[in-house]
Amino acid sequence: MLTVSYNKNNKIKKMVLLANLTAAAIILNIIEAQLEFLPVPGARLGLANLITIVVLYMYGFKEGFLVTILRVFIVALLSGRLSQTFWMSMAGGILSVSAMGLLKKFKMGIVLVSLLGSIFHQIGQIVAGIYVIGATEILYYLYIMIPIGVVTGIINGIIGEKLILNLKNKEENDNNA
Amino acid sequence: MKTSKRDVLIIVIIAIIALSGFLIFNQIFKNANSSKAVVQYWYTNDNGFNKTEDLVEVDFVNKKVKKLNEQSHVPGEYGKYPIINEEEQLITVLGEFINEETNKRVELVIKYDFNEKSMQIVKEESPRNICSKAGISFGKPLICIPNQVKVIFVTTEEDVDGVIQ
Repeated sequence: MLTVSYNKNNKIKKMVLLANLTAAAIILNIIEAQLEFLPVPGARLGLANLITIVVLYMYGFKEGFLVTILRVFIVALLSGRLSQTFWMSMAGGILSVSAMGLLKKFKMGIVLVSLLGSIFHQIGQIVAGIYVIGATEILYYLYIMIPIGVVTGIINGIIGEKLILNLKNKEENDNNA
Repeated sequence: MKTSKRDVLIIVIIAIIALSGFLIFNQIFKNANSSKAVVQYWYTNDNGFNKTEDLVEVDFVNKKVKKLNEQSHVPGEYGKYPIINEEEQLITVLGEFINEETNKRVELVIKYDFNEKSMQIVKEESPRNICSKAGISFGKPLICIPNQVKVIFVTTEEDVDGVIQ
């Protein structure tokens, strides 16, 4: 965990970094929305989830939660309407970030936390989908979506782990200098 | 924070469970010996609840196709749905998706096959055409989300006995 001392410079640094990471998450979200090969509307590969993991480990649950909600909200605004997809993304995002925040406390590695977060995201969005779409049968999609979530969750986790460890090293070097 | 050996073990176990779950379901859907299939239409009623109505039942055992209900929420100018064409083994229902050019709701054409015990959405209009791309189904439900039409399969115990006798 990074130690963030609360002097003014650090506060500004944190604000700028969080704003940048949120922007990156929004762009990843929009890009992956174009990759429409999954069978459910609102189903995403979860690349934006990578940013959630990074923020979760760099700062904590509160920041990760806010970045996720903000990302889902802004993406919905950019797409022009609060559609079924919005509710599904929101439910998936909240369940996923909450699960990851909790699992992080059990001394699990980033890859495993990311993988489980990805599975919870799929479950969250399908459960919300049952209500907003109105067809219980979409539960069947989970049998194909969970394996996809496992793969993307592992990939996100590996990238996230590299990123977080690098940032941590950099911070330590800065502190020592 | 770093991935430990214990983590790798848990990841491998989860991956194996997910993959075998996928393969098992795939196999179940492929080899499902369905006794009948039902074409359903769902809509949100005035109270905001989702209601599902059965339109057509395709009985694979007795090789019969039966109209169960008149499709509701169909304005007069569209005529009456569902339409069953027994010669070509086609069922036509009205979807909820609106074609922007004609500004009219689109039709869905479903093909049934008694011998294969299968259903297929052969014609539909929607942004991503997910349910027609799903192809022929032997047991996996076909769900057309913007059109609010679905095809579900039923395997009942009675019919299994019937086949054995």
